[in-house]
Amino acid sequence: MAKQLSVFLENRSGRMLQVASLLKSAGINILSFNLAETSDYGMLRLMVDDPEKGAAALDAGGFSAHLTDVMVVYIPARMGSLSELLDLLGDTIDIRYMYPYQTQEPNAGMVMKVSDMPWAEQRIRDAGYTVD
Amino acid sequence: MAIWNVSKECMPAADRRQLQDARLRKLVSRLYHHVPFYRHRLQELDITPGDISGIDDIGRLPFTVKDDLRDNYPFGLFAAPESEIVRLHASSGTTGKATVVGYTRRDIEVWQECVARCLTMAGIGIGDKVQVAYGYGMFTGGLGLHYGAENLGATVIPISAGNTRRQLDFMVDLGTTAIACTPSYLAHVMENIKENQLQDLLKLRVAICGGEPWTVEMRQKIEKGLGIELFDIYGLSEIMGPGVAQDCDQHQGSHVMDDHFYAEIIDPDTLEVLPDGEVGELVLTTLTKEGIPLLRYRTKDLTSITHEVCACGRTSARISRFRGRSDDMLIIRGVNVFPSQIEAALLEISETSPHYQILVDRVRDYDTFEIAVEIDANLFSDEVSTLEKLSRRISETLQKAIGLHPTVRLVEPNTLDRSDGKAQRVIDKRRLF
Repeated sequence: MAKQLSVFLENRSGRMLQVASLLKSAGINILSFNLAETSDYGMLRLMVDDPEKGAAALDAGGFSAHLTDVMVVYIPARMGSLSELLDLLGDTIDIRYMYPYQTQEPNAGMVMKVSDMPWAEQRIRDAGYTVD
Repeated sequence: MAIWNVSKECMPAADRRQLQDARLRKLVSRLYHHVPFYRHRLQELDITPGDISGIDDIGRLPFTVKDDLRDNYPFGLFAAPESEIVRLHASSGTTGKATVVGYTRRDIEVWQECVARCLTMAGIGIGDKVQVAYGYGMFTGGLGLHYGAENLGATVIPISAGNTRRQLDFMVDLGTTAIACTPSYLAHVMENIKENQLQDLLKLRVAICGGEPWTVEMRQKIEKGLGIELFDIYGLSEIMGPGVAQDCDQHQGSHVMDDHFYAEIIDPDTLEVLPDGEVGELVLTTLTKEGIPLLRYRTKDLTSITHEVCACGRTSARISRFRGRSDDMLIIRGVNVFPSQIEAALLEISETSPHYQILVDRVRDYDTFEIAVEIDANLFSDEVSTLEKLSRRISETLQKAIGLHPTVRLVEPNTLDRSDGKAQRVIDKRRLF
């Protein structure tokens, strides 16, 4: 299980810049992120090199930042591997969200949050994938 | 203009005072012997009915507040046996518990009488078609106007509130001459009339507006926009319902039906009675009620009083346009809302009530109602769908608690104003008073 930094952002100008600046000041490197938006606010999801330190820095900066358990699954960096992974999980669980992590040839990382994390993690491991 | 009840509405001051004195003596006796709550209150003050000779002694009597009704919910303050109560009405309480009021047959007759006086003051009579667009049900607005208009002999159109399309259709097809509704709803209807260019198809002549505070500007805007005359009716369910007071065609303050309701103005902090002309809290004593009579009920409405005779010929006391409330109650779209109700509702959602702020404004004559809620650790989720569900839940919980759907806005923590250590819970941008 990996830790994702989840940050609630109001749709006000400068919020993303503020987040990036605070992380820079704290010496935190962003490895991947995803920004889901609604008309009133955004949910920023960050994978950083030190999640606890990142959460503390953003919290001190006045942000609503929390750590969320997610999986990082490494799939082969070739055409078709995403559909193979999703086929493996079948239709009994919900994928809450997913987004790309980093590519380290020959693999590409996927950040995933699903409705039944322990079951999914086990199933993916059993199929021979690397999961963090 | 006609006067419904000349013998009462134009009584010489001395006769009125004599009538009020006799009614107050009878009231105190009734309460002392039939309502334990009041007997105990009077005994604590060493007062027996014989000690009260009339209005001059009213200052010795205790006040009654909304919490007294809430604490004695539902029938604890009733002075008549339940078998004599022919009607019950209810209004929202400060923290969700309703306030129940009961009416004997005679109370209903007095109510009909008072509303008939008000309608007559507005020039309404037999031959008029009165569209009652106040809500019917436990709320006193709809049925109050209905029974009064029927008593008068006008044709009642009991359409209740909402469904503007239907309101307009009936106004055109049935030939409505008078409408009874909240002023903000009337402004909304006016926009519709203008958009659909129905002005020339209407026979509308007069409107009886109440249920929420409204400004002189609002009145002028509607009167000019529709070419009708507006009258300002006042009432509250604890006292009776609509019909406690209304202005006449002079529009110089609202005549209180003071053969039935004795009005005083007090300083809300010192509780001393204020002289005519000074603004303070309106206190009402129900001189003739049988079901749930009240002594010196503090309405929380701020106004002043005058006993000068009006140019219309009526000698009853007149109260001025309201200046505000002495508590934190808001009136949004005609609905009474207490911030404490909102607090209680939010506690249903999270064990610790989140920081919130209510923003009330008026856009194109319609009240907008928004609640900003801080996303604290309890409410946070990394999933947008969860936050959306939370927004909907907040909106629905508040709708159930207060009867209005707010727009919910989720905001970052520590962004809502906390000046002087006390959170500013309500921002009302409307200028109502």
